[in-house]
Amino acid sequence: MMSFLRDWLLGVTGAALALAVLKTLVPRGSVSKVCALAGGLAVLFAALQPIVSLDGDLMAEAAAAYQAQREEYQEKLQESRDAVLGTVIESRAAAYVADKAAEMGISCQAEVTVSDDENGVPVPWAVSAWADWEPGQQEALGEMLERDLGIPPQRQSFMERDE
Amino acid sequence: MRAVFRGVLVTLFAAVLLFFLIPRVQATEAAEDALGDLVDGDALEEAGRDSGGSATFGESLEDGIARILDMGSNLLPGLLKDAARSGVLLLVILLFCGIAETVQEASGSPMPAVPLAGVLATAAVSVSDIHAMVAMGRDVVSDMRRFADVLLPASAAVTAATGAVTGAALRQMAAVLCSDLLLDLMDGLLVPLVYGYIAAAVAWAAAGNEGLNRMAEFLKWAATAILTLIATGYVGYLTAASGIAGAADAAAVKATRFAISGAIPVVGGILSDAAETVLASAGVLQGTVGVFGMVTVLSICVVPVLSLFLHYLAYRLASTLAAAAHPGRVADLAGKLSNAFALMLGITGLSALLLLAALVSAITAISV
Repeated sequence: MMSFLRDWLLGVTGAALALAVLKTLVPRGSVSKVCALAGGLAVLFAALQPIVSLDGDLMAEAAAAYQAQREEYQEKLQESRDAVLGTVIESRAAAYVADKAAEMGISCQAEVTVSDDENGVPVPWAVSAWADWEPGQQEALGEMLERDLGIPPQRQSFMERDE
Repeated sequence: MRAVFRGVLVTLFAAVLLFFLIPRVQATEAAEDALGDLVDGDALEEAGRDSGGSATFGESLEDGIARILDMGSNLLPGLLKDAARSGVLLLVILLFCGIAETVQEASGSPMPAVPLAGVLATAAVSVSDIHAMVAMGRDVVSDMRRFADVLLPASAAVTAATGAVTGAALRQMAAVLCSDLLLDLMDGLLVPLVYGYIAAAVAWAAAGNEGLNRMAEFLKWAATAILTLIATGYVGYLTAASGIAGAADAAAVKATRFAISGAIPVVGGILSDAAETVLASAGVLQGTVGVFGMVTVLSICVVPVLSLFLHYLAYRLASTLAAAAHPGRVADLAGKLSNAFALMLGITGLSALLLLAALVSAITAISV
């Protein structure tokens, strides 16, 4: 596209410049008029010729390539956005678990991982919790996790604090 | 040319107005950390410095503009002196030519060597200025392009975090495409057109051939038309496509909110709270990135724009004053040379406009 524009403009400019020089050199009279006419036709040809030979398929291919590149880049941006959102959801969910555990008298540290559900929405998927567990605490916390966060027992991990 | 200047001024005004209107919201630590991975303030500052700019990531727009004005006012005397020197030298040559032509006309003995000598002297005085200004314009365009390579992806990532994914991709691709187009056109077409215009103007002033004058006007028109076309096409595409992308992004966000509303209440509360937090934090960060980008772009441009504008003024003034004393082709040549500086000013302004328009467009999209 660049080279097309450059060649076209330079071609028209060169033809016009040549015509100007020719008109200066040619003596006045009928010869000058003929030269002016011929030169004008030459400038017109220089202006129209590249446009006539313009490849329409090239333009369509360029547009399609631009569209494909934009969609690919859009997917990358979507992934980075999902990563940011996922990090914040994990942080919020972990804080919720720790708060709820504290209400139950459990001092624990929690780590939540997210995954996309069937609607593509990132939801809490699995949880790992570290604490000095007493009898019954893991079951109570597990029930809360399944009820409030929808995390089934098979995706819950309870570990001792020093692990 | 006027359209390009107008576009630059309107974009600058819109940017300043928007930043006074955007509310500042406190962001949570988790969202800040996550977004901090997308935008590296130190890398942006280094990229800005490498491109000749000077801005601190996180400073306010008011502080940035104040610093640029301060820098401009410190450099203004030196730039004014350079431009005035060229203008005064040119004016002296033009006045001597005018006096010589007046004496020649009064004596009735034509001396075609007088305008020719005037043209040669004018060309000799202006050649170094023209080369310097053209080189300065080229450097600004390539510096902007280099800075855009770092700034635009960061801006796009933060804009995408607000939910405007389609718009972010569209703006980045359009800005990069137009910047590449301008850079390619600059070296391959625009600078040759400017030099061609100058050559045709000098040839017309020396020979007096009206065809050469029209040739020069055509080349000037071609360069102006290309710049206007790029500026108008880019801003128009950005406006129209941003509107369409904004609707697509809003629909996607609504669909997500609908999906969230169907989740378990506690999970739905966490998700919607997280989304609001990310939106607020990304909005703040987008403002910071936008301010940094704008201040850097303006700081890259300030010296070249001032220098080009002052030289344009000096040459135009010299031409006008000389024409008042004795109108002629030599005085008109100085006016045409000033147009060459105006063309370079338009090219420089356009390169800044491309980035500024992308930043303003990204900021106005934070309402999804």
